[in-house]
Amino acid sequence: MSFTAIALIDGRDAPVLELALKLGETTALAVGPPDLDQPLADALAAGAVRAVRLWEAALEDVDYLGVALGLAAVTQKLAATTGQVLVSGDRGRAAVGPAVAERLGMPHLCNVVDAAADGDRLKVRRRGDGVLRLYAAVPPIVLCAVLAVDSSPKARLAGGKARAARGKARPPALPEVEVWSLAQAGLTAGQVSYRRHFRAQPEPGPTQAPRLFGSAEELARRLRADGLLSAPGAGQ
Amino acid sequence: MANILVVVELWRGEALPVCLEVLGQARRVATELGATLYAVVPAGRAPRYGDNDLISVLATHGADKVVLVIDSALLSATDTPRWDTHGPALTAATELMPPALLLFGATPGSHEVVARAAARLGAAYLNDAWVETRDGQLELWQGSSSSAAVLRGDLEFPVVASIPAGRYRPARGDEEAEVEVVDAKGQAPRLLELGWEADPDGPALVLLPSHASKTLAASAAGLARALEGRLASQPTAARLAIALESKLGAVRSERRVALGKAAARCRHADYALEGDAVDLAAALAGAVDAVRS
Repeated sequence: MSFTAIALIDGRDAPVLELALKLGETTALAVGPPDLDQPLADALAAGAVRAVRLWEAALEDVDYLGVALGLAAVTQKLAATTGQVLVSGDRGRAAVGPAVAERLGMPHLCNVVDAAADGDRLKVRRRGDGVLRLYAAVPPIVLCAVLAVDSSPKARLAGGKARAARGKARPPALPEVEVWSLAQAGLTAGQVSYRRHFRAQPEPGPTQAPRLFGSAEELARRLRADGLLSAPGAGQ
Repeated sequence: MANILVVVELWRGEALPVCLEVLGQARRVATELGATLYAVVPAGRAPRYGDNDLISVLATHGADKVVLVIDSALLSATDTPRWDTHGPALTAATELMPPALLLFGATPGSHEVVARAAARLGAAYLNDAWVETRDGQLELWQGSSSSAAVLRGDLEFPVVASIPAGRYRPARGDEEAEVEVVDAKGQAPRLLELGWEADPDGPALVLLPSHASKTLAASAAGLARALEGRLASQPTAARLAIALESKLGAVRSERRVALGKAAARCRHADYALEGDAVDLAAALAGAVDAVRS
């Protein structure tokens, strides 16, 4: 069984699209200015069946939750969420994916390195406490993807060939990137624009310096207390 | 300002050091701003007589109140926190004590839950955060130096922040804390844990320069063996990354350590140990073996 997937595109996360396409028929979705049309067009060329970009001036400079409000609203308009897998990026903050999950009442997992259909369930591999944790889930779910475990050049090449093969079977004319207004998503400017006040403003800040330890023994004790020297899979 | 909540993550029944550091800085901020500081501990059951004295530890590290959020569903949780297991407990705590600040130590577990907790509260969210005060006003930073961004003043909305290990010192004191027990009435997790398998990128990475001497390479190899990790000259993902006289860059890692002559100036490191890299690597390998045995 394959699922319907929505890839939440921000132009910087190749694993997002790769994972979504692997899971099923994919719609690429973004909130942002016209700069995002190219990554969305790339998503269409790679096999996505539809690409939607939500944008209005009211979304400018909103925080993670402002973006998530837009993504969640478009997701709800696109289709019923039953059986749906949303794939978001997880480069560090991992803020938007979990916030979309919260808005849509879906479970979510971060640090996802891989997922595959297994009957009506999804089997997910997530990087955890020094090991890869395995989960089974019935969609809908939001997966926040990091680089794949096998992201070697050989594996990327194999993925590229697979996409090229899919591309040959596709009609030559690709669909256009659709640009939606807030009204089309069922939102008003006031429902998102207030989130710009929640965003921290750029300004030079404190200087980071590492915690200096006095001896190797002290550092080793700290690493043990951090749980970093435990046996793999030892859990909590 | 009313409530500052610090979520305390446990490792084999003990508070993670990063959580005690966050609690320490929260104590200093709460004292300056006149806020009440809560240590929030999601747990499967209340501590029993004979358990290590978690409540005393949290009290002496600065908590005004220790809130044990008991969710029996957590008894069967075997891995690090995730929203599916720990979300109900966090939600119960924040509904009972609506926070002005909700703080987490940066761990793989908090990475899973912190942004969702922020979204649930409709809060601002900062990671790699600094929680400071200036002239009696709150000053919250995300990031450092020229790449930083700030929220300051009388904020009219809650802020959720994740703070990296090593950034702040724990507080020390002999105060006692009130204890409150909250029943989270959790639900069965929607995700089924199937088990785990070895991570080809983990658990540890020892980075050394591509032009490393044979002596340094040999010492680094010994450290990698002690950590059951691998050697590399380019940063890749690993749970623990240790750089010997080399750059850590933006390696994706739970904890980054710099060893060498200028280690304390490494901006990307959480921890540092200064001295001769060959000697430090050998000493750390021995110390790791010792604490493991």
